[in-house]
Amino acid sequence: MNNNKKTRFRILWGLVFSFCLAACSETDKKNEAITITWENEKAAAIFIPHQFVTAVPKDSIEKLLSVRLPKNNTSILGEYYVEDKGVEFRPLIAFSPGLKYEVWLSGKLINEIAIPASDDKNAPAVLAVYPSTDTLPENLLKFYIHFSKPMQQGEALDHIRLIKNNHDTVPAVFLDLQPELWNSDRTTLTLWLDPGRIKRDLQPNKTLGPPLQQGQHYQLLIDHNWQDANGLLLKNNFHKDFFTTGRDSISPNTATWTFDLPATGTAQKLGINFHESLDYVLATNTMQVVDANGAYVKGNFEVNSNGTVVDFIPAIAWKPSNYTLEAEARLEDLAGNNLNHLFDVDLTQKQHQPKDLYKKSFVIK
Amino acid sequence: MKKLFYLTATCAALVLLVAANRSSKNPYDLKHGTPAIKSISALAFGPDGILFIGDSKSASVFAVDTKDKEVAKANAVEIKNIDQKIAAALGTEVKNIKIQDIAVNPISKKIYCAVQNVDGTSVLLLIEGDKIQPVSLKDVDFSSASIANAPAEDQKDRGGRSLRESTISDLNFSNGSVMLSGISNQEFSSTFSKIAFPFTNKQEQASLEIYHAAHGRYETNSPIRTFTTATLNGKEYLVASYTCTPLVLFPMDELKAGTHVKGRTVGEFGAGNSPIDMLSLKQGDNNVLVMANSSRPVMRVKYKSIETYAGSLTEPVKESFSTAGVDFVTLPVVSVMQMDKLDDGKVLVLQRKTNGDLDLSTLNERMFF
Repeated sequence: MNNNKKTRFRILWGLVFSFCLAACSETDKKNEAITITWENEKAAAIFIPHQFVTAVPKDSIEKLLSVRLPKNNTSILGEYYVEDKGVEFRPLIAFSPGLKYEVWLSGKLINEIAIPASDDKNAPAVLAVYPSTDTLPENLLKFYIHFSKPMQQGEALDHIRLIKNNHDTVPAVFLDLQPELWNSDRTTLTLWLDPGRIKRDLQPNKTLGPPLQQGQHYQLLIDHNWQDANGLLLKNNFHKDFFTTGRDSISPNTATWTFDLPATGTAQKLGINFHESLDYVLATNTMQVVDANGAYVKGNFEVNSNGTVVDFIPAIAWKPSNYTLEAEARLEDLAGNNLNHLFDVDLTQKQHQPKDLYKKSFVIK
Repeated sequence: MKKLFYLTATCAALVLLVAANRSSKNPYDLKHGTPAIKSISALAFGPDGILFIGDSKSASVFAVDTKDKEVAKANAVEIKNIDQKIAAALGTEVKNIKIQDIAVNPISKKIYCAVQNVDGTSVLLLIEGDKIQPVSLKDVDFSSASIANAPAEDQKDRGGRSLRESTISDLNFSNGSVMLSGISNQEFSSTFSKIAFPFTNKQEQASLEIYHAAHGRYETNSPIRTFTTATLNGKEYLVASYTCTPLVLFPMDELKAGTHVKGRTVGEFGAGNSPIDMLSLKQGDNNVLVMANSSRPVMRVKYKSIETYAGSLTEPVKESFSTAGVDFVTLPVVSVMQMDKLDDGKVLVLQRKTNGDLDLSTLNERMFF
């Protein structure tokens, strides 16, 4: 091989090497994909690498770049943040799990990205329905439904039915209330049976009758097609079976409550027995224990599953002293009768003077 | 001549100074910043385009200056499949969103819409024609007030008792006050709060339980579901509907802090139904109440009928599903889920059509007067 030939050979190899290098680096660039930014387990943003938007002046990004759902011309609302290595798009609400999104630039589709669907193993479940007892008064006012995850609001009545005697769906039995009554983390729904039908002599009661009738079997059904905050459906259908007894027309009375007293010098629980089922949620947050000096005793209230007994677990040991249990008048039984009055007060009957607090003393010896 | 020049210049400077002062004056004591809004449960407009946002999660009401410009006339609105359009703009599916409330700015006639995503995120949108835009709640002029009866944060630790929670069921502004009804998610009760606006640090908040004497024998305490205000025979009234029976009147001047006020039931509009939204319209001497219902068509009631109806319904309605009390007219409009005034002759409605579509449309004055 003469020198000329050697030189040509080296140039050729040089060109091949340069081409391979360029091709490789091009491959690397192509491998740079649009990525998802996860925040609190939500797809809060996507990052579009610089290679996709090189030809776009920074100040025109918002005009020329758009993120859309497939087969839809609408640009998704959100904000674009131009960074050194690309552009971040942060939509007004998080991207939905399981959906695909397209990235368009100057009217051309440049890439698409799929948001992974939520993992089915995290599917929500109904943890409990209160009252939990299987015998309930015919004038039952409400159910609390506890879920394992925050649920979608606004469509409870699409998923909840009441079946009577294994046969008939009871129509218009629940109050269609919008907005629905959820706790702040959307894991507990308060569901009222139509109060207009429970209250004696009101028009709905006269025309449609009470929602529940004495001596019947009912099944509360919650279907699994109810999605949680991550778009996952309930794991299973849920049902609660119960039988109805007569009307509860007696207000809870603190005079009939009894205490299971702890020993002095210990932090044992104080048992408060109502001898009837009271509202599961109110039973834990309408009471206080006050010491002889009028100071609140710190601690927690825990209610048993059928709402008949509440335990107060003090943060510190009991002293030999007088204590007072204070119960707010708003504490209700299962029929919505509270410490002051019945759910529907019969004006022909003598009423006692309403109070804000009801007190019951006990002594730790 | 020179004196005249100086005099003119001084006058001009004074005029400019006064004008500058006036423009910088903040009549509602709003501050600039980003309100900590956790949820958008209800919307209502107050004076000068101030938007009130009811936030159930933080138990607060926020006043936000929209800075909208005044327009003379409201145009009729017809937007088909508004839920699909909103879902596309938010990059999600219809099943994942819920329209919480709509409110029309009486100044700009712009439509504000609160939407909640399935994950609980609330967003505020502006709907102008076919355009849907986000309303930024960052760096705005705002103020806020907590809702009466919400326990203070420090009460959470008091003996381990948790916060009482309630959901804002309706929000209105009238005669210098923001009014909210909130339904407890625990006991069977509601609170009605009347908060003077501009909000002050030491505000007087009225919190009421409202009792409803039903048919003579039974008295019930019932949560308010929706309400509006009206002037009847020269006196201002709260016109409220309950979760269990329809229309009840309360004289505004009797709604004071800590009081229990008994309302006068003036109408029952049929069992198996309850009003879900209501508003008042005025044209000349004619005032009407417009009600959207859960399972009956939109109804129109003349306030003159209410003014002349001196009684209170004390006897149960005899015939099943019949009605009693004041006269009303049923309009040929069904399945209205939200509504607000576009102006005193037009009502914007969010309506589920028989084919399942959810449309935003306009009811014209011939429906009401």
